[in-house]
Order: sequence, then structure tokens, then C-alpha cells
Amino acid sequence: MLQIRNLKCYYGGIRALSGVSLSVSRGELVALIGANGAGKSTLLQAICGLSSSWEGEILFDGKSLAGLKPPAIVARGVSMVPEGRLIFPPLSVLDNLKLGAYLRYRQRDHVGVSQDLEKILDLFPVLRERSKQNAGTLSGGEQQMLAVGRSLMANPKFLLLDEPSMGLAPLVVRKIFDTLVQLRETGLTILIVEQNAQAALEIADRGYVLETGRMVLAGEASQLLADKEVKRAYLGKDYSKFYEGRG
Amino acid sequence: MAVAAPSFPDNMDPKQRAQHQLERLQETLNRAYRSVPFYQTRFKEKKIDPLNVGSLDDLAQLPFTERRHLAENYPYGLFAVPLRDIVRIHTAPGEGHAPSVSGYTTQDLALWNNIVARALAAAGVNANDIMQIFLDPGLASWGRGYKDGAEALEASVIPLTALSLEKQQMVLKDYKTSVVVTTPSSAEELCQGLYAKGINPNDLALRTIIFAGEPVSQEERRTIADKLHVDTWVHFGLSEVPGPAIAFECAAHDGLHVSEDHFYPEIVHPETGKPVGPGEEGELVLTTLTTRAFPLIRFRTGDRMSFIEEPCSCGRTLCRVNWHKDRTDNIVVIRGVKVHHAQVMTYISKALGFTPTCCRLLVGKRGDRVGLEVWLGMDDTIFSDEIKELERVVETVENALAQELGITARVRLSEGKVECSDPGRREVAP
Amino acid sequence: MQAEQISIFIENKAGRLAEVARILSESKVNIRALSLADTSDFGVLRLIVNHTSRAKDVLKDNGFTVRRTTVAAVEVLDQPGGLLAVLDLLNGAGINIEYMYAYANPPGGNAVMIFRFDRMEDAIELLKKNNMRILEAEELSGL
Ligand SMILES: Nc1ncnc2c1ncn2[C@@H]1O[C@H](COP(=O)(O)OP(=O)(O)OP(=O)(O)O)[C@@H](O)[C@H]1O
Ligand SMILES: [Mg+2]
Repeated sequence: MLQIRNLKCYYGGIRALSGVSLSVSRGELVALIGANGAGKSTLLQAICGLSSSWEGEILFDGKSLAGLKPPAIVARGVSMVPEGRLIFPPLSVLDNLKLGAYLRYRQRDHVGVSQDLEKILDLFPVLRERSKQNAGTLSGGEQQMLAVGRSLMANPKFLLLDEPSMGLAPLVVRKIFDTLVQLRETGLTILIVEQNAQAALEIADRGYVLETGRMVLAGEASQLLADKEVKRAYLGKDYSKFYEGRG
Repeated sequence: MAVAAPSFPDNMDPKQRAQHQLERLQETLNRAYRSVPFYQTRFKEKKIDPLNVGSLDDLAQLPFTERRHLAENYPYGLFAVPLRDIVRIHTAPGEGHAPSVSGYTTQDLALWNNIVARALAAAGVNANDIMQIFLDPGLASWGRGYKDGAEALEASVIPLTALSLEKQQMVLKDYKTSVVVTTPSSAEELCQGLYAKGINPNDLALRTIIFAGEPVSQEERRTIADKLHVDTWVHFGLSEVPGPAIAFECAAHDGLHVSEDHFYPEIVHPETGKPVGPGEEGELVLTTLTTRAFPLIRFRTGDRMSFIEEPCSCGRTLCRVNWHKDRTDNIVVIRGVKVHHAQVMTYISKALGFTPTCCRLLVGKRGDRVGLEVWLGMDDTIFSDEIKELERVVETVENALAQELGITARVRLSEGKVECSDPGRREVAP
Repeated sequence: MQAEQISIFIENKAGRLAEVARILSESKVNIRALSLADTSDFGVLRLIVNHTSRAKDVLKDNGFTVRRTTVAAVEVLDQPGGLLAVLDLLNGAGINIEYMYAYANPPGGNAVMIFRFDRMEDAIELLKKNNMRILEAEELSGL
């Protein structure tokens, strides 16, 4: 579904991504993990058309996304849940959700939108309870659910999430991730960026490890979870004291 | 439990596989560059950053890794993970004084199981089989690879043991072995041994022979297949990365499929290093795509191969190669064991106390047994006008080589220069 | 006091001996004495020639491994026990013979034997003391 080849992204003269290749097949849930500043968000932004200058190839359903504006990319079926959620606090939960279907309203797909709205409120019952409330009054976890819900309102084929677990309690993370698994089972393809490698790899099919703008490892999620290098660097276990260094 | 990098379906759309290969290649280059000073230095010398490799074809910009580099970085210099992560260490005869050492993480071992199992499965090996491994001790690491791979398929394995030919025959018959993994030369011996004992191949359960370690000619195959009433399958591997089955035959028996989701193959002109044209012969160059402890980038195998362009009738889309008997380097393969010219020179010099001008390695035959034959070029230092002195030289060198290489070696003194004009030709001694 | 011999390494296969002879004859070198010691695989050809240096050079140019060795050319009385007398003498002094061979067509009726001893100097001194005639190098190659 998504094929990225040799992606390079620059901020001014600084290169944030140095020739990254990554692919996601239809129906897969893929995790991209990496430390702060590795370039994870940059990668997602490039896919969504939010990055002004990138080189390389990004193919979605076999067609290049080069030069497309974000709305055109959303129209192709790509939707992102950005880092830090970016919901609109003064608006109600319901209005926030409807904002996500902005393009579809323009296409007069009112029936489809209200069907999806119901599905999403079923998926996150807490949002239904709070549908009239201002989004700003929601807890962090609820806001994240709202952000996911809003992205789903665009009826995407491919959902991108940038650190959905950030700042959330483990139990809440579990809940949101369970929802992602449910969504994947309905056929949605998902690419999730996470620093919480453990949680992400537990639900993912495959994973990629990004290190200072370069991909250093990829594989089945179970393979990465068992990987000593990944454990040392990203799974928060203190292996350093066993480290013996090169012979 | 370690989990290995997965193989992709054997019949995957080549375009899709190419995407995965590129991803794996870039990851491998990045890891090697980051963790192995040897690669970092060499890339920097050539002003190459792995990020320049934006396509599989770009790989050709990178410098080759040669066997001598393995010896030069003896023992652990090319490992890309801390020793703490290494769970197995293998040694293969090297080029020069130091052997080449390779290390494996638990993932690497799991990977090997999968690769060998895939190759064995293509030869029809399954849980009903009893597989006997009959290899020279020099190939012990391959013996382990086959054992693990066959066990993964739930076949019953009779592992490599130091049994005499006679005992091997007894096991073959009494244990109802259905699959034998061996080298073409050992198979020949086994075959002759069975006939000598009057054992009728029809009384055996044997149906499959897997040839490892060296290429085999069509006639040799046919002879063994006819005599023993078996199907034969060829596997290609490297002793540097104890991978007995990097490339394997399918039921079409028309070339070998490369496990290219784990090893990226190139075929280059041995002199210029440039890629050969479609279907042309050249030297096989391999880049590991998934190994963790011991990445090899553009490793010159010395094996002479050519790509088969047409798709295979078996439906696998894994690329195919023809494996030719000659080599592109100064290595002779004796019973699957690689004997390096430089290494033999080192042993001879050590034994004689001086370095002779030249020697040439050939495949020799003594009765049914294949061994190494060394033609030692006569020079002023070796020469004596007394026969007994010359005979002493022969004996000294023969003993030293037998001891160092673990295979029988016969030394012949030759007039003057014996350097062969075409070092890769597999020569059988007259 | 010692004669010069050249030794040549040859593989034990057809035509090698003839090849040496051909090379020498083309360079106008005459072979005065010849012996071949061999095993199943190889042999050492020992020659006394009229032009030792030239012979050595042309053979080397043709890829042969050649060495010059000093030997003793001893005149042996052409009568029963002539050789035995020489051998007894050396044996008595504990001198070993590495190899020996006969010289072709010696002048003056007596046989000439070419010897290589393990102790060349001692052997020659001993033989001389016992009035054995030892041919000079020039004398030998000029014959
Ligand atoms: N707008 C920008 N201008 C300049 N540099 C930037 C900009 N955004 C990101 N960078 C730099 O690019 C690199 C990659 O940043 P990116 O946000 O993609 O990392 P990340 O992997 O998402 O990190 P985090 O886990 O902290 O979100 C960093 O070095 C960062 O400082
Ligand atoms: Mg980020």
C-alpha cells in the first residue's frame, strides 16, 4: 500500500532523514520506533504532504505522492493523528469529530459521514457520553481518542499516528492500542510512530527502527521485541552493565 | 526465544521483494557503517556514505570485501554487535596466517535454521525423512546447519559424526536413511563402498542426496543418481558464513534459487569488478541482508556463476544462478573444504623454513579418495642434486599439509614455474 | 683439484632428457659424462660438460633449475679390484659417497669415475696421498 524509497528530508541545510526506505502492506499494522529527534515525525509529515522539501519516492497504492497538497493526500485515503493531538479545545467533541470529515462534507457524503460518526462513537463510548462537552475539558486519554476518532472521520484506508501514547498512563495507552488492533481487524492499514517501543511492538505486525535519520533495523514485531539491541536502546531495560564492547 | 528476520514467500512479486531488499540493504549498510570500523574506514576512504545507496543498483559503488579482509580483522574485528550478543563462533580456514572467524547472535542461528529448512523443503525433505549427514570434519559447521534446519522440518537427523566409511554404510542401511547430505566426492566414495560390499541400492530407503560444498557436473550427478537410484539436489553455501544453503535447487533441477531475501547476489567480472551482462559468467558477490553479528558487504565469493534470466517453472520468483565448476580465485575445493593458495604457501614456508617460489593446487585422486595435490615449483633453494634431500622436502611438506588442513595432500615436485595462467580453473591432476 | 658438474632437476616424463640434450647441443655444449638418478616422479640429471657456465646459463634460460656442484674425477685402474681399492680407502677413513658414476670414453685406457663425497676436501687429500690420480677440471672438460 505504502512504499517509501530513499526518502531524504531537509530543514534548511540540516538533513533530518537520510535515505529511508519503508513499506507497509495492506492490512498491516507497522510500528516505527526511534529515539527523540530520530526523524519519525518528519517521515510522517512527508507522507502527509506537510513537509516542503523531500527527495526520494513515496508511493501510495502505486502512485507517487510527490507534489501533492495535504487535502489531496487525505482524499487518497491517508489520514494522520498528529503528535500532541491538536484538537480544538473550545469546540464540542462532536464538532471536533465532524471537522475530521471536512472534505467529505464538501463532497456531500452526509450519509456516509453520519454512519461513520456512529461507528466511531461505538468504538469510543466515552466520546458519545461526552459528545456535547468542550474538547478542552477531556482528559489526556480522551483527547487522544478524540484525535483518533477525528482522523477516522475522513474514512481513511491508511491511518498514521504520531506518538499516540505520549503523556498517557499505561492503562489508557493499553485502551487506545486495543482500539488500534480492532481497527486493523476491520481492514484499516496503520503506521504508528512511537517512543513507547514495547507497547507499539506488542500490537504491531512489523516494526522499523530509525536512528538519526537512518533505518538500522526492521523485522517482525516479535523479532524486534526479542532483539537485544532493541531492548538495550528502546525497551528501557538496563542492559548497559552487561555490555562488554568489542573484542 | 529469538526470532529470525522472516523470509518472504518464495513466489513473491519481484518488485515487492526488491522493496524489501532495498530496505534490508540500507539497514545493513547503516548498521555496518555504525558498528564496524572496517566498513566505516573503507567507505570513508572512497568518500561513500551508505545513504548514497538509494537503490539496489547503487550497491555497485561500494568497495568489495575479500577473504583477506576477514583474516586481517581476525578475530572479532568485523562483528557488528557486542560480544555479549554473540552466542556462537565459527572458524573457517582463512587466506594467509589467520583463519576467518564469524559470529552469530541467537537471531542469526534462527535465521540459518529457516534458510536451511527452506532449501531442504524444496528438495522434498519432510517429517517422514531420516536424514544422515556425511561430511568431512572440515565442514562441521555446515553439519550443524543441516541438523538444525532438518530438525525444524521435524525430520529425524543422524548428525555428523566421525564414523568410518564402513560405519556410515551400516547406518545408512540399518537406520533406513532416506536423505543423505554430503559432498559429491564423499557421495562417490559412499557409492563405491556400497557396491564393493555388494549392498543393493534397492535394499536401501535412500531416495535423496543433497550435495553441499562444491559444484557437481551433470555426469557425476547422473552416475551417482543411477547407481544409487536417488534424486540429487545441489546446495550452494559459504564457509565464511556457515551457510550451507544460501542457494538451492528446486524440483526443476535447473539452476539454484538464491535466498535473496537474506543475501543480495551480484555477479561481476572477476578482473574489472563490473557487473556482467545478462546470462554471462562471472564471480558471485554476496551482501548479507539480515544477519546481525556478521554483516558482509559485497563479499567476493570466488565462485563462478551466471544468472538465469528466465522465470523458473517451479513458480519461485527467487532469482536463479548456474554454478560453474571453475573458480575466479586461487582456491581449490577438496571434499567441500576450501583450500586457499596463500594459506598453503604459508604452511609450506613454515615447514621448509623458507618460502618457495611457487606452487599450484589441484584436485588429486588416490583410488576413490579425493585429496589435495600440490605441485611445488622447483627453485634454487629447494633444489639439491641428491635425491634423498628432495624426497625429504616432499615428505616434510606432505606431513605439514596433512596436519594443518586435515585432508590428505600429495606433493609433486615440478620443473620451474607452476603458476597456473587461469587460477580459477578447477584442475584435476593427471 | 675438483671437477665441476651441473645438476638439473627434471620431471620424470617422456622427452625431458632429450630436451636437455637438445638445448645443450644447440649451444654447442658437449656432454662428457652423464648420470640420472630418479624416482617415479622426478629425477636429477648430473652432467660433466665442456662448457659448464654456458650450459648452466642456457638451461636456466629454458626454465630449468640448475646447480653447479664440485665433484672429484678419479682415475681407476682398469683391472679387477681397481674400484674396490678406491672404495676401501674411503670407507676406511669414514668418508661417505653421496653418488658416483662413470665417465664416458676416458683417455688412455683407464676408467674415470666421478664421485661426490660428503667430505670432499678430506677425500681428495686422502686419494692423493695414496697416489690416485685426480683429473683437473680443465683436463676433464677439455678431453
Ligand atoms: N521545523 C524544524 N526545523 C528545523 N529542524 C527540525 C524541525 N523539525 C524537526 N527538526 C529536526 O529534525 C530532526 C528530526 O525531528 P523529528 O521531529 O522528525 O524527530 P522525532 O523522531 O519525531 O522525535 P520525537 O520523538 O522527539 O518526536 C531533529 O533533529 C529535529 O531537531
Ligand atoms: Mg516526533
